[in-house]
Amino acid sequence: MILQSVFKRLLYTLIIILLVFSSRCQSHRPERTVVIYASIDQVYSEPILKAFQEKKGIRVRPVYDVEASKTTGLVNRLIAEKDRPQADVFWSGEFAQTILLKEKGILAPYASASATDIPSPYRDPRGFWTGYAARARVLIINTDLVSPANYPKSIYDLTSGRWPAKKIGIAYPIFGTTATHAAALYASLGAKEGRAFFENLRKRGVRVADGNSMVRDLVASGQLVFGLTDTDDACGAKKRGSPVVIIFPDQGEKGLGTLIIPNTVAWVANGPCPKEAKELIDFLLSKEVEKQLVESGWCHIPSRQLGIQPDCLDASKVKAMEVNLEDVYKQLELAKRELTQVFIR
Amino acid sequence: MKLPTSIRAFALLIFFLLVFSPLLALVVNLIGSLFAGHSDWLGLMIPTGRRFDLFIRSMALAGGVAISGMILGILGAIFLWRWRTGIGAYLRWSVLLLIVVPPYVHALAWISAISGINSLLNATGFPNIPFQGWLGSWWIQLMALVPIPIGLTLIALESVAPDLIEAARMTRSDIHNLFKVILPLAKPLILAGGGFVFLLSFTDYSIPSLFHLNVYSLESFAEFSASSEPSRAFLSAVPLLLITILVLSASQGALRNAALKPTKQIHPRTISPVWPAWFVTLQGLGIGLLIAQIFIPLFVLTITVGTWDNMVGAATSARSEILFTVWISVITAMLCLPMGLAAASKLVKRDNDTKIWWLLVTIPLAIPAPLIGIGLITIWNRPFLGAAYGSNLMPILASLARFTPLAAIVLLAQLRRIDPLLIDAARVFHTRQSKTWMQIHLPILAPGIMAAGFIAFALCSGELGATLIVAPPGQATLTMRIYNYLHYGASETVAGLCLMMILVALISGVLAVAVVRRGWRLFPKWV
Repeated sequence: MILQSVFKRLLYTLIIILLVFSSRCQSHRPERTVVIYASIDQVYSEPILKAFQEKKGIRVRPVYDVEASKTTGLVNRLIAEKDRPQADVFWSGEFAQTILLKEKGILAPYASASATDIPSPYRDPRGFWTGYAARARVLIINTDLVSPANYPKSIYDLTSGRWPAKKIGIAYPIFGTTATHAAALYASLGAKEGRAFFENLRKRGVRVADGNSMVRDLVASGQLVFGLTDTDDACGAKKRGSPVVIIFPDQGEKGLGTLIIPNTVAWVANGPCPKEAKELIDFLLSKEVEKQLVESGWCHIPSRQLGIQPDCLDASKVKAMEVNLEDVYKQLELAKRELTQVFIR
Repeated sequence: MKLPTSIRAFALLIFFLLVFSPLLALVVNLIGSLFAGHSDWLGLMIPTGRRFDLFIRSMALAGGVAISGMILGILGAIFLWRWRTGIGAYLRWSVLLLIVVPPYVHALAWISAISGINSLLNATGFPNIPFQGWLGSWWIQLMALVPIPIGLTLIALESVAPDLIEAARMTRSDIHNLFKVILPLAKPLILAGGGFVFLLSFTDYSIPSLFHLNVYSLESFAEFSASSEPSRAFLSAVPLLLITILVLSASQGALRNAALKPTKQIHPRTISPVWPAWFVTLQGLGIGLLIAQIFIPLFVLTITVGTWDNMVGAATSARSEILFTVWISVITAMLCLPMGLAAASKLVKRDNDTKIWWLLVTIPLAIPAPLIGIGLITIWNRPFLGAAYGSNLMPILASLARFTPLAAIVLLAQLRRIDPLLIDAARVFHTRQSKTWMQIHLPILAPGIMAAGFIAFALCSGELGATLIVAPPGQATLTMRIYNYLHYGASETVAGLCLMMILVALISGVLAVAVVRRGWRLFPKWV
């Protein structure tokens, strides 16, 4: 049958295309490779990974997460791949998901020589992860709409009634770093008071945006007077010339302080290339890379003395919220569950 | 309608393996969880209280988007139907191009446009357009998804036999014939389009959450995010599943009454139709909306890109992503067609098995994309499949699992247009099944094949949720890069990449038309 012959030929052609296509990257693969799952924005992490590749001659094969995946992306991929990991290194823009991976048995301990000068609160006691190059939670304020004398100074300004609720905003506190911030408030204030804070926000009708970058955009465009976001988002708006100012909240003597969110690097247990993984971890945790992360605008609160300051804000005297990172993680699931009921209705 | 038996069996086997294996993995995982003492999780299947409210809200939004999409699709397609010759015959398909642009980018473009309009309204003392909540969510989903009903309605109209219309015009008015002859004949694909829009709207949380409207699919995501338990997320998606089955079954159940007439070569009408004033007004409104649907995003994207250098810079920086996206989308579109056709040939029958096949085909459509990815990992991340897992095959498998059922339903709607008498006649004159297939089936199916292929291509190129879970290390799609830059706030790069996606879709569409047209001429010579 000619038709069957045609279909068979088509099928064989497709199979050959698939084989060639799927093996293309493998045939040219250098001898040494390392796979990294990175939830740090590609714009910031890609140049660093390329620099490592050039310096060490080890080909880096990254997978980048996106904010739109609502933290259901790479972390769940790592969990699903647990029995046969594809990744060697996990590089996260925050810490709670990394601790979750440790609890799930996805990570292996590794005490990097590059991390010896990183303060202990930033490191897992057993070496399952190392934090550094922190971001912080900040208030971003539109300077066209608020005079300096009236700048909000606390997260409680979100609930105070000084501004119309529709003119202030946060991201959904059940995803990303806003969820981590919520968990930190639960840990710091107690679950009851933490929940009450967010219930007040909800009752007031504060705008809940689709992500921290959306909060930034709404403030930068003047649709919101101010909002709660991350330093990298806020500094991005400032860098682009938007009329915004960035304030670390609750910096007074009796203030709560702001949540500091370190990036974390962790070794994936039983990953395919352990030697290369350790080399990459050492590189990522080096002072040079942390400096590069500050210079590029991703991180604003370095974990150690680097001799530079971020150009968009002065973080040298920032008062941090006094919470243990593990304690924050322990509140994360409860906070997410309760706040889902508060905000998704 | 039969593919040669051995090919159909093979295609069905592959369809089953690729589409259902992630689902089976999830079900096995779920059973394991239930036996491990988590039987209380079953309560997630029944939305009560707050979750019930979200569910009803999602249904209302998706229903509104689907109905308005079908109406706009009919109005637009009837207008474009007249453009059958010259450059218009190609230009009219440009309404489909913006389907490749992520809905989020549609939203950003429209927010920017409405903000400008509101400034003008403010200056002239008029109240603002309240572009939030229901209005914003409905409008953006409609604008992002309307190419599907327009495209399918246009294909359906193209498939209506001109002789029937001309015969009807002898006795009754054009508007009467539209409602009594043309639309009933085009109903299969129109309803399929409405069903798809409902489904895509129902399972999307990104646009409603952008406009501060909470919907049920966000609840499923929140559940997955909080628990990292695929089984819990799967159970919370069960109500979505039931609604999907109901909607698609209802929309396609009506097809059995559709008149079955052969499609012949298209001839332009001798005399243009005469519509009443109210219909012309409605049509004008519809066309205005379609023009806005195309030009507002294009205008805003072009303005945002700013300079040609920015455009070139965005394209150059993403060349590997562009190439990768085109590769996986083309292969997905090619592979889903034979599998979709095989599945459609099961759906088109009217025996007891058909209901089971309907169930099997619609179930994957309601599964949240990340869960498809998790299911694929469970199946493919095995030592003996090591060469495949982690390769470029995985995103193709993810898109096949998600979109082959859609292709099957598009092809089903086209299959139902084949006149059994024509097939019987062909059997008398043709000695070979293959000859009947090539000379009768394929030309009739060609519009459906084109539509199914293009929809698969477009949806694959925009897929994010499952692709992110299984993308091979070191590779990324254009959509992944766009979302990365969206977070960074590099709007000019995002705009440049979106324009690049539209260009890629345009080139792919033109190539597909050329291939099909050339193939159509060549096929009869082969057999």
